Amino acid sequence: MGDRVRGKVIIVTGAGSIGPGMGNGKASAIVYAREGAKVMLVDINLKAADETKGIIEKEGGTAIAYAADVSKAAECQKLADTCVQKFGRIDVLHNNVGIIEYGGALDTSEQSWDKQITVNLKSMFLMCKSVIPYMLKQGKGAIVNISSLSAIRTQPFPAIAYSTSKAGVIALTHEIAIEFAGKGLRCNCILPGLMKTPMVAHYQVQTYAGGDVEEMWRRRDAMSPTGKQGEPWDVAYAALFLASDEAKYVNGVELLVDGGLCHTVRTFNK
Amino acid sequence: MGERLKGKVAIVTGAGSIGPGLGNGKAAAIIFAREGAKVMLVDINAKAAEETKSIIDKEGGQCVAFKADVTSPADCREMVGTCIQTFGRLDILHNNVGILGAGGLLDTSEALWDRIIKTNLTSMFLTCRYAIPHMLEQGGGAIINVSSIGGIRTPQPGQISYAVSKGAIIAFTNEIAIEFAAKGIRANCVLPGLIKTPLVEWSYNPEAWGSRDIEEMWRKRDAMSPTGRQGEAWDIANAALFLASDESKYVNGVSLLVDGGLTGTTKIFK
Repeated sequence: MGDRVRGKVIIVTGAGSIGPGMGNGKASAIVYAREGAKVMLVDINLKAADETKGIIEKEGGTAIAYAADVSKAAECQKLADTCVQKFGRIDVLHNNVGIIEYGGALDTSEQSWDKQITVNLKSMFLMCKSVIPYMLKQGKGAIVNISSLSAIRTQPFPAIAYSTSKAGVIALTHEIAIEFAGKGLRCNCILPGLMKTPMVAHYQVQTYAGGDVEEMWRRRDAMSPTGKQGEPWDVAYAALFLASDEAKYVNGVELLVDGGLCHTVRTFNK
Repeated sequence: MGERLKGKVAIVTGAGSIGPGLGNGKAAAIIFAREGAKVMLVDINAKAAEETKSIIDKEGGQCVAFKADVTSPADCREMVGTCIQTFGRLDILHNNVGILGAGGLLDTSEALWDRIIKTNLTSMFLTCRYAIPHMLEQGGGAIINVSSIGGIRTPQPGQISYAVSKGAIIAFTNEIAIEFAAKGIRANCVLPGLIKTPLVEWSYNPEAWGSRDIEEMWRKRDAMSPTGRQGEAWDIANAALFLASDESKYVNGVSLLVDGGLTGTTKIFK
């Protein structure tokens, strides 16, 4: 076990995975716990959060699982209050919840747009509203928001609502970063590129490869300048850096974890 | 001592400080050594590199000091050759050498322009040219180039050659990142904001800051930061550590800001 976030209390939203394997939120929660944090594992699916809890406890870490829908203000407030009741404080808020529904401007329904903007963007606004007052009282805190490469580049397939929500996350991050900079809070975001996660397998396999997961992974590997997609641990370690005091002067950044993909303009094989 | 760079060999250019105290290169070298790397401390001033060496030696780290002018191709070749002879490999190249130069378009002489571009930018081209073949042979490596927020904003107007050199480092880094991505080499840059270092102290211009008291400059620079404080050399060193370590194995071609959020603002904090 390490010491890089020793003694800190961290809320991770979307701390369970949607399917078998390792997701970004789950990996981040595990890495935080390994580095000495007490972690509140929030997921809309309690079973998924419990699975992450089982992994952390087996490694000797400290975590609690908590079911919440972070698109609801009352649930965000209750979860922040519960965290403080259980652990006495909140040092880090890791906003990882996100969903994707593919579609361009014409074939994205208003309902799908609203859902993605609410789950991906408004949830972070709500979580910040509930958590920041505690951080202000402590005089210190760090927020890590998960945006996406899609916020600044298009994917091979249109995802207008998803991309727009993720760009909103960047602006939200800057606003919070500057508003509370003088009060000891930091707020940064991570822009994952092509990652090999259960969420991608769940939401994207039809779009990418007609349901053939291995074919999708092969295509996505080929799209990366490194020849490989990233893995959830890559996002987790970036989050660890931003959450820890090592990043105490890092505020308002968009940290890409994409193997360099954003610098290319090549049309990749679909 | 940590293990985040255990077994790795790093070259740090500009590893000495120009005056008393802790500069970015010195701090990075110390942190690399604390995390288990063998470090080659390169500086144009042998005494400055030796001072850093004595700090690392005292902490039980491993390093050698090496005098070189990184604007000289011959020196760069000898530097890399000596590193390979001494330590057997080269995993991390931390390009930290940089000088400041005041002057706007009309009052910057061609000689000053050439000197700044050569020292800040061409030096990185040269060190990479000699280092990368060894990294390719090993099948990987990490390059960290120290750019500046001056490369993307004009916090202190009237530094045209400096700003251009630092902006170009970003493009240079991205080129390297993509060219060698599939061969296991990563290249990233760090963009320090207002950092309290010996270089800034050494370059202090009472006229520009309207006071003969250097404390007045530090106070103004603190006030310019959204956090109310300048950064310190350790902040840059810790960002470099993240980018140098395998924890950032999917981080490639990024410009990592370490500026407390300053570039997220358009307000003049004074």
